[in-house]
Amino acid sequence: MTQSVSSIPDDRQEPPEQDVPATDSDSWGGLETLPGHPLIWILILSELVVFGAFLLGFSGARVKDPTGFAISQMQLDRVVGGINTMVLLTSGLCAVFATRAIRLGTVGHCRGWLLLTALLGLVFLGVKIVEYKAKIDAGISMETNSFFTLYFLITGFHALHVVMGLGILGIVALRPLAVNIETGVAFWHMIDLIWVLVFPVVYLVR
Amino acid sequence: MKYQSQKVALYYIYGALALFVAQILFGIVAGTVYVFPNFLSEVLPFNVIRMIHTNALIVWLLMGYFGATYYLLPEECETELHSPKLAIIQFWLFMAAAAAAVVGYILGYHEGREFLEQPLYIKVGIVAVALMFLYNTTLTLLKGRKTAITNVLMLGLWLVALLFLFAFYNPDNLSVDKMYWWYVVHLWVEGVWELIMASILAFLMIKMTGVDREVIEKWLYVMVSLTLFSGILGTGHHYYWIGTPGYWQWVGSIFSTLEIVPFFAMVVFCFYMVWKGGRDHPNKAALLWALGCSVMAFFGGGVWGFMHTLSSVNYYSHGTQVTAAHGHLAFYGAYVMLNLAIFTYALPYLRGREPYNQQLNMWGFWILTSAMSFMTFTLTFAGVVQTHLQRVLGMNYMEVQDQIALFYWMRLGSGLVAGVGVILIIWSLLVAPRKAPVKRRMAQPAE
Amino acid sequence: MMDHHLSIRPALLVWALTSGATLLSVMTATGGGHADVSHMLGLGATAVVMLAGTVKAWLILQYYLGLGQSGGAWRGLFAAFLIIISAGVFIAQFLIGILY
Repeated sequence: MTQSVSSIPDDRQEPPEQDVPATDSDSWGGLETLPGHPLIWILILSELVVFGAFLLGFSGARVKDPTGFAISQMQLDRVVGGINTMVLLTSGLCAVFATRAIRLGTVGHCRGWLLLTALLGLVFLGVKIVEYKAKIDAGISMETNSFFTLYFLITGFHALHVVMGLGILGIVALRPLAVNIETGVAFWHMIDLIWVLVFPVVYLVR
Repeated sequence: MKYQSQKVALYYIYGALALFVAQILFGIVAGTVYVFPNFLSEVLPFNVIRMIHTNALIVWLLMGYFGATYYLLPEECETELHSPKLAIIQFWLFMAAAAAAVVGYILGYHEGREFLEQPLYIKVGIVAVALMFLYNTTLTLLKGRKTAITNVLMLGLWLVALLFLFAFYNPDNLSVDKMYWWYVVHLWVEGVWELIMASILAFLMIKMTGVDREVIEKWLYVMVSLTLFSGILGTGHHYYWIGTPGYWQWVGSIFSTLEIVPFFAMVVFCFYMVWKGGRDHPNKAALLWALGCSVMAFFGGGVWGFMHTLSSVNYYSHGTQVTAAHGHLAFYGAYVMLNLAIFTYALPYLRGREPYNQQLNMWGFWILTSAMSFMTFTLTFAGVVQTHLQRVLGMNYMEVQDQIALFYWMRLGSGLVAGVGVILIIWSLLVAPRKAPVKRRMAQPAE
Repeated sequence: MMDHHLSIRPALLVWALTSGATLLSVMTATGGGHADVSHMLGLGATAVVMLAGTVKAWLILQYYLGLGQSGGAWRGLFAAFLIIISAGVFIAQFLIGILY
């Protein structure tokens, strides 16, 4: 037992470097050409697929009950939704400036812009809470009909990502390396990106 | 041996193989009952046979993971195991609990909660075993080198143990009961076991292909991210019809559809690494099992899972033989083959001999895999016919069972062939004689 | 790489364009507050609303998420994603039109 037969290849040693060309050790299969850490893009791509599926599901469910969806959609405040879109877009702009600041090497400015980004994120959440409260006060819940099941699921998941995004922005503000900032900001832009697609499909089209 | 303490893995591998045999035997008996309904009905009721078939499966897979961990952890951490003695005690405790459970089932002692039938004292024993294991392995990890493989593996194992605690929670409300019930085995197989699977496959790829650890670790992180992203909420596809709110139909459908992605990534990973490595590793059988594992997991877990995961499809198909088809190929492809891959790889080192008799092992691979594939097809056809007759045309359950009897015969046949495959594999791993080390082929020299 | 992050003008321009597109889409969908909001949107209005959303998404991808600097394959992938979402909406409008 203790004596291994000498002919067993000793692959238990790490293979020497020259076994495989080390040229592609920096490669992430193309993910490395995108800003931030490549793994955040695995998350971003997964999120886009999920929200994409939800939005397609929304369109599909609407075909089954267009009148019900149109009537339910009238309960949403399109203007408030539009304002919230602009809040998020502005916060995305601040995030761009945060990235710019860290690239110019000014950590203080970067943190300032991140703070502004996060504050606008909080405004977005505040407006969302007001919207939800109005629905709940009107006796509307997730179980009311399939429009509201999807409305709460899609916007709720999205709001959850805003909350997570705030956490991520906080973490990268504490460790403001360029790659960290780019990673956190990429996540934040994804939130922005998803919302500009959710807004027309859920709030506007009928 | 590179590290003495690695050899405690042998206990676990032997124990796992013993329970594997029990699982297959009881599977064949259960398949027989499907065609001769009164077979053994007085001595051993069907529910007990099925209990042993499913429980033995889970226990031997867990035992295999314990063995795999005890084998690879010292090598990865570059240090001896914290306590080989504790590992041996843990093994005997686990084996005793498993044996007690089986004997108890046969004598009619069980809690009746499907798949969590183990009496309370057995469940407590399992927790004790898990604690001993986690204590031993975590201390080993803490004192040694930490790699992506060890970290992902230990994360998976810790979560396995934590999720098992839900087995103790048994609320009166049947919907709530079922909700937590799915936390145990299904957050395992759709979530944390995939972490174990990815890390063991990554270990095998590092050892057998010679590709840079750095490259393999990147793949590992990607696979783990995809698994956790899709698998946790994807388990929501069990919440369609148990009294949980309707939004689970959306959440479950969308996230569980994505569960195919990490399985696909594992296929690409394994084949790409082997292609890239270009090393001619002498243990061809182990490589075959590793590659086969990724492919069959993709089909069994991914494709066969997706087939009935959308709530609009599952509305008709749930609880039919379609589920049985998926269950068999998914467990076989993902977790049985994973264990057989690491056993085939590790046993020659543990027993200090060449990776001999690969021909026999590979014959076993092809026979068992073909049998399981055939079984999956027969059950799939049975399930499709059953869904149509029972759920669409509204025929009653027993009438439908008569209509699909032919498929049950074919399933029994494939089960018997699977039994032959298992015998060949175990023979090649444990019994077959040592061959004179003449015409061996070495790994590519490292200069 | 990432040169655009160093210049303020494109970022501001993207912000102005996306905000304008938001206003345009809300105006179109509500008819400036005069339209019967329970009535189905026509093909033209749907196109304006979805195009506004898609252009916003594309600008965010291209300038904020740095897709402009990466390979054409990535741009193609994300473009396909945006097209699929809009296609879903248009197919739904079309089906509702012929079914009801």
